[in-house]
Amino acid sequence: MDYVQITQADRLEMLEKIGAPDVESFYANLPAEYRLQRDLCLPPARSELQLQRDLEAMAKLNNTATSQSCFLGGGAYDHFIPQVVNNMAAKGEFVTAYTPYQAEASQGSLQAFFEFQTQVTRLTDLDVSNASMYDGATAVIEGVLLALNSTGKRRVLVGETLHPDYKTVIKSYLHDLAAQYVELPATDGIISTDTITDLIDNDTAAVVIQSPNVFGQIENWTKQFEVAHSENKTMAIAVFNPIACSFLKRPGACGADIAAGEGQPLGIPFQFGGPYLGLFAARKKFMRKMPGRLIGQTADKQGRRGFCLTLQTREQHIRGAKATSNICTNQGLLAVRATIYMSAMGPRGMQNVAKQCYHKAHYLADQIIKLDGYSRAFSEAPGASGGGAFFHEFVINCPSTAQTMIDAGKKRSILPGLCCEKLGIGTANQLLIAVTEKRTVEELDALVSLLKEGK
Amino acid sequence: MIDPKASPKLIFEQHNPAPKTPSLDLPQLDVPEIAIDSDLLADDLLNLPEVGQLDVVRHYTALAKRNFSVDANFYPLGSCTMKFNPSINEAAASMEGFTGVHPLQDDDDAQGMLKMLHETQTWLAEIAGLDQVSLQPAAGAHGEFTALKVIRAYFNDPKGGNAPQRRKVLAPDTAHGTNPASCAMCGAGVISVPSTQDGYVDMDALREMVDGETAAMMITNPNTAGLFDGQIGEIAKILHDAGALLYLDGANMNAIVGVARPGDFGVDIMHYNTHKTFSTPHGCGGPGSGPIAVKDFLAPYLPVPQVVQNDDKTYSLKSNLPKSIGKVRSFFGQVGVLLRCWTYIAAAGPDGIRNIGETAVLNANYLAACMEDRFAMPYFSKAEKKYCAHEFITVPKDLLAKGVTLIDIAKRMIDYGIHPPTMHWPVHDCLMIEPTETESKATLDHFIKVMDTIADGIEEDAAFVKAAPYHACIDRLDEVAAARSPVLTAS
Ligand SMILES: Cc1ncc(COP(=O)(O)O)c(C=O)c1O
Repeated sequence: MDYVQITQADRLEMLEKIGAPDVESFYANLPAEYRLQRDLCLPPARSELQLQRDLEAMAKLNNTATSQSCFLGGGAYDHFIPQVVNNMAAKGEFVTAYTPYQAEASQGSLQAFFEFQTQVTRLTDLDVSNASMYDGATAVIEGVLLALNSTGKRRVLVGETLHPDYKTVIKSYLHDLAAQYVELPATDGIISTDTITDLIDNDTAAVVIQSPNVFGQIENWTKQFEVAHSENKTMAIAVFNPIACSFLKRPGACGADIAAGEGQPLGIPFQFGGPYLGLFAARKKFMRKMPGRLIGQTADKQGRRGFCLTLQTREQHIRGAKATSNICTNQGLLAVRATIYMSAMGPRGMQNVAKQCYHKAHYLADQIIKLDGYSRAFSEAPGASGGGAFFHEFVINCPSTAQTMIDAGKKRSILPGLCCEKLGIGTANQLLIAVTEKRTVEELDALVSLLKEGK
Repeated sequence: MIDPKASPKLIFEQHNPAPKTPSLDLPQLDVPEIAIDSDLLADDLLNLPEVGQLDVVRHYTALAKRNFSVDANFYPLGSCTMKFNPSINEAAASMEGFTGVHPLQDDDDAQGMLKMLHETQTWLAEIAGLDQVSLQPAAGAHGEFTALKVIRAYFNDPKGGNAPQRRKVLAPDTAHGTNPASCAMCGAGVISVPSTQDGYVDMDALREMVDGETAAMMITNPNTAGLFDGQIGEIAKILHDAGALLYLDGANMNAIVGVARPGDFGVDIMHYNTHKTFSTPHGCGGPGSGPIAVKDFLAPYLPVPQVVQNDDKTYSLKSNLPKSIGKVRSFFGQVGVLLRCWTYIAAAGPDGIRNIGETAVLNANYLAACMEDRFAMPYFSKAEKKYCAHEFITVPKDLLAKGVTLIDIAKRMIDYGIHPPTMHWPVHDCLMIEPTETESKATLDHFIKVMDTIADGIEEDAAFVKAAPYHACIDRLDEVAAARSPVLTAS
């Protein structure tokens, strides 16, 4: 099935019109030696019914997280997705349009992205945002590149508590550039301001801190970014979680110059890691250095409000090697999902999600540490914003390996968490547990029982 | 007076707080509340609107109606391969068995996913005529970047290319903007290779430019003017003789799938744009996916993790590749997009894939042949039997001489329900038209009539065409004003 509608009769008629004897003639420039003289080695064509069967069979081989009690996080979270997000984002007019190059034929996407940009600036308390990056990790590296270009400095200080994939991506990108990656070591699960003071210098382009960090701990952005700004021009990059922003302090309010984060929690299913959504926001003075598509408001000849792509002279199709980024195709449809999610949930709905995550995660942590042999990996908050507080994810020391618990969970359809050693953030006995609003108290108690019996 | 063309209210202008419950409610909290340090909390509720669900549905339905899309319109946007997105693709991508897999679940929980990815990898290698594939890059540009990293790692490796001085990358002057931009992001210098009058690589210039510092040449074939460059074998030889590599920008693979394979004409490394060639839809700008395919000698440098099949036929993710460039994004890749790619290739099979390539080329040549009388074409000529690949460019000089601009022509197309082609690239004042293989002859014939009618209209009353569009959801927008004083957010 190739969805071609040209019939044999059409083909002959068309060839006659062109004055060519056969389709081969169009390939005349390609020497015969470069032509494939056999059929491709692919499975034979399938009917749609057959495809459906094969897809279902393949899908059955997956033991999905969403069909179980899921406590997996580590950068992708099991939040409730309102049905309206699925229905509206499935519209063919969104799914099968492309980049809105022609404004008058793309007002729908353009207005949706304009609203999305606005929502992201409000989530982050910053001034400008774009129409999406590939994912959280690439949004962060684009922020780092912006800082390098705009400050002319060469060192990048990255908190050890940043997601390991994001760290690897930063390292991979910086590898061939005249830039130096420096890691800020963590103390008791967070980055202390003293560490930043010790390592910052006047060649530091940016300080990058994730909060809630990879351990789920809430960092003290305000104090950390004060230290970052003690050097002239050094930029503060906040790696944020959009759900946390409906409840906890926001990047801009804490002094961030750039906020970058993963938009998956905003109505995007797991899908084994993608497509997700890179969120990016910055202070206004960096507007002309932003990567990606920017949507601006304008008017038509009658003065009606409308929208178009703008400040395109930053972009690769105009600037080539001098562009602010090479990004072209972005994550448009995921931005559409996220904007619908935020519209559907509203500010109180989103805050309720965040609060429920917080309370459920803390209830669970409290129950687990009452068990023999279990303890929190990091100390509890001694006082106001001194660190130690967590949002909806936390690390637990177990009396046996995390893998033992994970294996024990298989019989009960519980995914107890991620093994910190495997994730590259801790030991084999540590479990990273994430709790969302979807988990009921029964599920939380079932996990506690599993950990009690499973060790 | 209510203006029928007024754009829908912004969502922010529809704020309508319900008395008690938020727009979308959750079940009651079923655990005790725990105190939280108020220093950690935001000072206020998010400044977002609260809108009832019916109005949310109306809002996005209204916005959707204000978009052109492949589902609703002929969309011959050159270089973007706006083909039909089969319904089964979307059904596949929304099956819970696929959407519900967490990226960090154990391999044995994700065997179906890994099987799908492994097959996609294998098929893309076969279609490319290359050995190994990485599915990680998120789009074409990201694939370019990843591939350039792989090339750099290979030359930096004393046991590999062992030529760290090779940092220069060549690209034709007609290259897509992402090519030089990707080079810059890798810290590689990019040098532009001129094209001849006929639109092909200037071989004399190329020979002079290749030297001991050249890492690779990035080439698009068929090229961005819609022409097969038959010199490709010779180009490969020049590069290889000089110790450099040949990179293919695979944006135009739709012209050659099943007919010719890049690996067979000398390509060492390439990217695909699955959202073009393999019908994964474009989603208002994305997501796409930009897998790269390489010859074996470049495989050790590919990003991690990779999907491998074990001796017992199970699949796993492999991350311990010491020479790998690392990662270019989080987790595995654009898996939901790759699933649509799998579905599309699985449906087509070998004959279908070849038919896709051949029909894409037939459709483009048919349009060009029927349009060239009124729309001048620098490279196509029916009389001289100069044909195009899957797309062609017209520089409509005669029409422009009547006082209209290219934009006027494009905006007039909107009035007829057709999405305008790519403009001003790869040469100034051109329209780049790519019909794709999924359009019927009836649609192509309708398009030809529309273009004829537009040409008539320009000859009769150019001033009228200059004020197009008339039948779009909005009149022509002032893009200059938008850039002069940018408003990027609602107040
Ligand atoms: C020739 C060419 N190269 C590269 C790209 C970049 O691909 P993507 O938009 O998927 O990043 C495009 C498409 O936009 C293209 O047409």
